[in-house]
Amino acid sequence: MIELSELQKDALGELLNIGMGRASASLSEMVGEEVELSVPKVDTLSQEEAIERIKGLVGDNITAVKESFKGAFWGDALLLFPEEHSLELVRALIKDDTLPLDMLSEMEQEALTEVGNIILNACLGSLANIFQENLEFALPQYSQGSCEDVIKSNTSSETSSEGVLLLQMNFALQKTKVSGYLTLIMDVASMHALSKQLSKYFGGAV
Amino acid sequence: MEKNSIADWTSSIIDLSDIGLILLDKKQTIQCWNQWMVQSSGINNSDAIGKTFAEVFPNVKSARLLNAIDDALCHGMASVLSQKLNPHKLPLYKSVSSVSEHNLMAQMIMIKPIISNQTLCLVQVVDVSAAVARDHMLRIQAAEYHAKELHNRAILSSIADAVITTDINGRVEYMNSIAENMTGWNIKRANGYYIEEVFSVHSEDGKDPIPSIGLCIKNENIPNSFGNNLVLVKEDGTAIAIEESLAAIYNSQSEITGSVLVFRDVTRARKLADEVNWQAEHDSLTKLYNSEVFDKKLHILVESTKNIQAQHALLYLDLDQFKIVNDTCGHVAGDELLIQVSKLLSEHIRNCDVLARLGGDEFGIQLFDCPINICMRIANKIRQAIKDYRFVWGEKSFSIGVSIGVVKITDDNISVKDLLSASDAACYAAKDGGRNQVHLYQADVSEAAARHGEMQWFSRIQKALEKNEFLLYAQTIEPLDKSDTKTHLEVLIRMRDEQGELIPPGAFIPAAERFGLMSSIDRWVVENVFKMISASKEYIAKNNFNFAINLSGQTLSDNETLSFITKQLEKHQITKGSISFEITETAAISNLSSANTFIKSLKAVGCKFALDDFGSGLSSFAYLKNLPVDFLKIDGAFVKDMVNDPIDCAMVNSINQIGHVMNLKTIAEFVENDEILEKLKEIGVDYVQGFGICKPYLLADKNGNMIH
Repeated sequence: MIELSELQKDALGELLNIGMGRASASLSEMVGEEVELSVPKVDTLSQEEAIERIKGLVGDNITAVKESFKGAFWGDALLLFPEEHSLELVRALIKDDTLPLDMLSEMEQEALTEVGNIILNACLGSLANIFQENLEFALPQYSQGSCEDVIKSNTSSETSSEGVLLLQMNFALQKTKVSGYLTLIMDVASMHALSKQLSKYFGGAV
Repeated sequence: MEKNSIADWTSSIIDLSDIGLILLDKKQTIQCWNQWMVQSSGINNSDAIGKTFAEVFPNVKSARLLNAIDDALCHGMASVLSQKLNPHKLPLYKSVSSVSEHNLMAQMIMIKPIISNQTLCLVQVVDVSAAVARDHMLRIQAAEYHAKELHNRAILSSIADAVITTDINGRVEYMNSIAENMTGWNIKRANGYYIEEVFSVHSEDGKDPIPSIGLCIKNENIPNSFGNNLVLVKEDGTAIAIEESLAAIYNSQSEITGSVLVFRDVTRARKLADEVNWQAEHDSLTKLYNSEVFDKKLHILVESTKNIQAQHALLYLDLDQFKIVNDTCGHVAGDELLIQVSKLLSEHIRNCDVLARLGGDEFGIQLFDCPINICMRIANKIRQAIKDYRFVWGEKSFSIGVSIGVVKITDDNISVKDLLSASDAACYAAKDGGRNQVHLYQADVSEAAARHGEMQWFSRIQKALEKNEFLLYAQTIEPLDKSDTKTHLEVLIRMRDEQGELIPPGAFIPAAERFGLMSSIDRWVVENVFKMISASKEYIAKNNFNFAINLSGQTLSDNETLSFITKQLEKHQITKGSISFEITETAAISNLSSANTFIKSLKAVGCKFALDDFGSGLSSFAYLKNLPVDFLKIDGAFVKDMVNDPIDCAMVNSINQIGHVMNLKTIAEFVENDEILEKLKEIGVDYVQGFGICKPYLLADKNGNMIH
């Protein structure tokens, strides 16, 4: 698989943080509370490695919001949370009476989907915007299950030479701190295209 | 034509759709407005199509919605607007009545770009009222459930017992704080662990681990309890004695869904029970088994011996001089002696043997699988060990002895009761044989005959008491100091048999002692002497007779006889100072405290006391200080050989000297010839008595009158 250089990863992290800034602004406005989002780390991994890494970091039970995108580069964007973090996050955002259930109700699933949607749109949108390229997005989908099932079943491309961009992401609300992962699953060609876009935008520097 | 009809179909399908569909072009002009939108918004197709979204919904200011449309058209982005985060975006209603009630429809809006030759935006509106209602219902139910759960947990937390519940696989779901304390696990950590990992128990003897609860649930065979005497091992390794009970949890379909385990700390109760059990089986002083346990174990031993070739032995031990220690040093010393002897005894037996304290100073031993020759060796070792042992109390030191009766236990043996009485008899025989002996019980003729003979004595003595078949004899006690003008007589007793033959006291006194008849004989003597005195008052007064009457050890500790004597003294108006009583040194010391009381009581009413056979026992002169006697009768055994044996002579001399130092008059017995008499005069003894002075003679006739 294609590897991004350290500089490219740093550059991508910066660009995504711009998107995160947008996402946190719109989330803050929606819930009437400051929501901070940040991407401290970007990694490129193989899909198998990514699954193992995510399992090790968040456990095997995850909640995910997926969005497929196509255009100058293409793939699936997934926002992953440990199951209990997704509950915490949604309930902190919607400020409803705490539902004493250890799973999301259907309304809550929808809300989480929207949160994921806002974040994914903002991140990918900011990339498209900066690269001055058009991306076309599909509607976000909610899914929940084991790490492997969620990641594998969501891949739209069938090539095995997929790479994963794994971005750790932190959410901070007034009382809640939750971490999740943003992953971009792309095949080699798409990764290559992204790499080229990065080089083009930053010139010879990356 | 075909193309048209497909377009018609498409338009019909759009109108038939159960969600709202709005298609916007790049300028946000409405291109499509389906029937669902017409019904929900009350805006006709013709009023919507061709107008911009903002014109149709002038009051919709939601930035999120407007941005989402913009993102779709300008950036190709798709968006979801959930009902939770964006309530009531568009002015849509489910029915006409809800319009008047301003009851907006709950909506979820999806916005996606359609990119072909031009970019369009499809807005889909979904009525989520039903989902909202379900959510609401779920919330109520969950709240109720939660409240109930809190209620149950509060109950479980407040009870004094520890509670753990498990799921159907036996994994911990809940534990109250007491269970947390007792196991050392907290619920957060324990959650999901198999209960056996958290609740680690085994039986007290460490043998049986408990079965898996998960397995019990699977087999639908949940025991009420895992057994008695369970020990819970805390995470830090400390153990707690517990009692527990287990029950299945059923759902409304009567299926097992889990289990509940309740347990409590019974450390104190079990310790108490152990103590009670221990105390029920042991003698608290010596910590040895008590006689009940000894009997029980003997029963088991006897039963186990039946039909098999095995030889065990039963030992019955009786300390010989325990009473002396107890009486001279108090019972604290006696107790200490028993404790030390117990230790001594335990050193001579094996772990498989049984040692018990059967009573006061009596012990029992069961020697397991032990041939009789070895058993006798062990018994003798014990005897020797006790003989060699010296008990020290303060400044005093005592040597003691033990009499041991041994009985074989074999398969042809008798009952436990007979075994015990045989061992008792053998012990008695050992005592009778002179103490500090081991006697093996032989169920042979001679012993039986001896016992039989004793039984005959018992009835004969009783008959003699009833029918006055005793005779009073007397022997003069001669003062060597001629200034003493009194006539001192020691009163003696004889028994007359049916043929009129005289039976000496040596023949019947041991039997009388054994059967507890000595007090009766003493009373008979006292009564008859006093009767005689009162009947012959003048004669006695004229000759200035003094009478010395022997009293047994049994009498010394018998308050009834004491008061009997006092009453008799009064009744017969006995002159004060004319009666003295003789008690043996051994009897006095064996009953030191009661002897003291006895002596003081009778001295108070004018009687005197002589200590008989002084020097024969093992006692030292020290005891003399504690006995307020008037006369010391030197043991005849020293006197009779004193002419030839310088040691005996020295003994007589020293006893005499000590007596004089203590202001006691001394009396020498067994003065058989003039040589002895001369020697005694030389030494300075006060009184002499014996065949060389005067032989015993009949004191009273058969009517009880003194023979002149």
